[in-house]
Amino acid sequence: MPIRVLAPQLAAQIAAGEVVERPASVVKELVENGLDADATSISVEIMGGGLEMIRVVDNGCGIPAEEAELAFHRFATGKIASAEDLDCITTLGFRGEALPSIAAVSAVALLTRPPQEAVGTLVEVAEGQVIRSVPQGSPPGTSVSVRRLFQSVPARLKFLKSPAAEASRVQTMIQQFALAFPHVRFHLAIDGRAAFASSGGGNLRDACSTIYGPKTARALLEVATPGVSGEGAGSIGVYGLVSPPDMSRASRAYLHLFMNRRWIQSRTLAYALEEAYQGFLMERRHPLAVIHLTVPPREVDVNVHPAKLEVRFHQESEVFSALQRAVRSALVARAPVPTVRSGLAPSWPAPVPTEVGTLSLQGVPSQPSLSRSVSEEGGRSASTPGEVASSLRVLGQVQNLYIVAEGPGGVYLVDQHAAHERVLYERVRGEFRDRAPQVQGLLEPAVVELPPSLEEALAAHGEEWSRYGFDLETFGPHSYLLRALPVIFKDADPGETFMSILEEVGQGKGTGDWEEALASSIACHSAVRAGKSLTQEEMAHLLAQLSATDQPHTCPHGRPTMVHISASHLEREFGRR
Amino acid sequence: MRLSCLQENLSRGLALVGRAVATRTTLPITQHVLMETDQSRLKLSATNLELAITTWVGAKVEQEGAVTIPARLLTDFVNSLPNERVDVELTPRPIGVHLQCARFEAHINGADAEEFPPIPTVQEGITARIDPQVLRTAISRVVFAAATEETRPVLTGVKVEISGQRFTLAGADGFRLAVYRGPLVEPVTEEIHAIVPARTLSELQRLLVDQEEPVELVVTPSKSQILIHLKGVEMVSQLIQGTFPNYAQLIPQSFGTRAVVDLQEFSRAARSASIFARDGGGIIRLQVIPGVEGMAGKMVITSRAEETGDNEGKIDARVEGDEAKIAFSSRYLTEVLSVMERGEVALETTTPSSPGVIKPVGGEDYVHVVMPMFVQW
Repeated sequence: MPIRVLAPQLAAQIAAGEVVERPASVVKELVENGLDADATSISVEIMGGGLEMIRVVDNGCGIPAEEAELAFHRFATGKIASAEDLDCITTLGFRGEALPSIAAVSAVALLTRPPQEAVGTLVEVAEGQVIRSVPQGSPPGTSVSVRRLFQSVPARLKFLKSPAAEASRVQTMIQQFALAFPHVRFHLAIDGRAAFASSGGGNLRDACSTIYGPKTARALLEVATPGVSGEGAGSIGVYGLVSPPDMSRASRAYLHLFMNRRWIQSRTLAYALEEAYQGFLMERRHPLAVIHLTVPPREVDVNVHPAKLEVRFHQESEVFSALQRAVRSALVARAPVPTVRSGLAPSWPAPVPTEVGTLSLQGVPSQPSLSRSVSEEGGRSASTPGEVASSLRVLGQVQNLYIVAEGPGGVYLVDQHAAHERVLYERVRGEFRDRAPQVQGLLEPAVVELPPSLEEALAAHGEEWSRYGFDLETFGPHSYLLRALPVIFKDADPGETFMSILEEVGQGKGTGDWEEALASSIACHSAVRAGKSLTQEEMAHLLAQLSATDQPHTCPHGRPTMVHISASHLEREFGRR
Repeated sequence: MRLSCLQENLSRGLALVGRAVATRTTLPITQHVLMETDQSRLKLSATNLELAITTWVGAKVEQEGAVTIPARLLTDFVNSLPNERVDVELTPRPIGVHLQCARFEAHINGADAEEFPPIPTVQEGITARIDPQVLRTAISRVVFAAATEETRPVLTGVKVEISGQRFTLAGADGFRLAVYRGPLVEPVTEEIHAIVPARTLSELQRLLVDQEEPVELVVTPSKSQILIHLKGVEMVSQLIQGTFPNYAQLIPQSFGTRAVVDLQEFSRAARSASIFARDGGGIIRLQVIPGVEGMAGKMVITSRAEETGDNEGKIDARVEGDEAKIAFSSRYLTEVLSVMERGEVALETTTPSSPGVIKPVGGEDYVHVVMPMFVQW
């Protein structure tokens, strides 16, 4: 095929792909335009997941009649004028790509009027060509309607998710804006139904409350380190709300980072935030945080990615440590410190090491490696997998985590959590198979407030939840009543556990794998924790239950439930052989 | 400090305060017992920082003083002594006590009394007086329903409400609720609302066995501690802070079916059903069948375990309303039946998925609400 220059329309469609990836990115570009026009109220309406129609209406400064058509030209922008301006960008947009890119892949109608002008302008564009530009009456501000999005780009259309999923992305996007601009009132309607509204009162905690519910919002801790004006390390300001140590989430989807009010994604900064929680949160638990960073515009390059989700800091390590310090100090100030009363200092001297205790382990050649040879050993001395477990005799517990037992050919260490997980997993799978989960009603239904992503995970399986033992009822926008739950949860906090499970199993389709993930998640959350001391009877009972399972040697995640130290290994270590 | 007392009294006193000695702790001093002279008595105190118990032992005090001694060691040694006079003397260096009884003597190292955590004293507050046996019954009916896991700290406590001429105890763990109301010895002028740790009440229940005089409960104005006065014993406990669920609205106000049965028979049937329930996920199914044409109604209690077998018990019941079915966790059912004493009990239900109510017929003002298990029938 000979090399040719692409037709302008095709080139524009290709370029549009970088900026306009899906309906949510159209909404993002249009809302950012509204914000750059100093709007105090922005309302967004979408139909059919944004593919049928997107309308963004703001009350900002509008576009004068003579410039309205120009707005659809590529690289036309009112936000910067020279290359120097790129060094200190204070607006959200500046590339001059948004409107033309959107217009290249849809039919756009722009209706705008600056407050000081009497008549507004209507510009209609299809396939990148202006087809109509007439004066028309309009409220002050700008309204952009986008229809037939991606109809001319079937390839893009193919990669979009269901309208509900795209709508959920738009909602997440609007919520990010509400957090970034608490002083702007946002309103979102999906298919004619109000889906989200923020008050625009200027208070970040109120904005959080509209997304995560008042209970969560009230509990958040405030972080505030004002940056001094000027440049360098001290000029970085950190403001925001973070979850207290006793509140956590099972995924990182609750970190909202904003740099100069721009929503950004940064693994480095997310890591800085989690570092600040070091020692406060359990493994695989994550904080909920809304963080506003104020960085001098010269210190950062936002022109890295067309959608501007990634930014580059000139002094990344300083931003990193400013964030970490600010969050850490907010946490430490609020973390419970054990109170030592006066005159209460422990009076016992540290125990004097005895002769045996002082012997160092230097003489021991190398760390003895425990052979994980349970299955092989088991294969020799026992014919079915359950037999090793059934012949174990409990000796004790180590670190409130491992059960020490004597069994065929040596000593066995059993991970109590993993073992219990296996027992519960098979029980839950059995209940699912028989369609007979054991369900316990709750005295007081637990109110669960779900963010959109989890709501979608919930909706993906609708009525099925009751089949798995969760009795749910809609309680209001984004909130649900949990009336009953599988009986094995008894000791956990019902609401929190349910949310963790939703996060873990996600939206997976079909029943096979999803059901397995659900069973494994349920088992994990109700299994006995590491750190719980067990009585001799409890340990014996656990081993008996383990021996009755189909795969007693691994937990549902594939980790071993037990390791074996063979008698011959012990003999070698003690020099008996 | 130099004093003498009877081995029997000292041993009893140590056993009493021993209930408050910390078992696992990072603060070793809380495993000690504080001995101090108090006029012509020996005062013994122990605390695990949540609960403190103080008692007095009659003694002949020759010289005043105070010291703390490891509780376990002292108690074990005193228990091994013959029932005779014990002479106790403080030794300054190393700090400790010298004990002598008949022909046995011992020296036990201790620590300075100054290092012992201060036992909170409650000087003023709202006071209520309750008959000890009434209180003991009330605690036994309620305390087992409190939560044992710390996921919701307020539920590990029992809500104590005192107002007018009555007191109310309420315990709940998210799946069941027990509420007992009883009379006060004399009316109170000011109301008391407090959440007392269930463990404190369990210890109190033990101490109440041989009490005859009214028990005095005093809550500090700051609502952070409760002081319980018994004859010769004082308990001070931290209160749990937080909001207890509004339990009154969790008690169903009406029912579709009410079955009155003999407690002993119900209890026996539930116990035998629980044997089979053990392997079948702990479910006991109850079926209430109204009598026809003057015949007595029935309650059928069943349980089954897939591979083991099943059982069925039938008891007579006076039934109001329609036939009803409901399933309970066998532990919840047997526990509530075992704390009730005798006579008849009523089971009130509406649907298989709404709460069941168990209460005595006549006599006590006691209500127990249990959430059912949702099962296939």
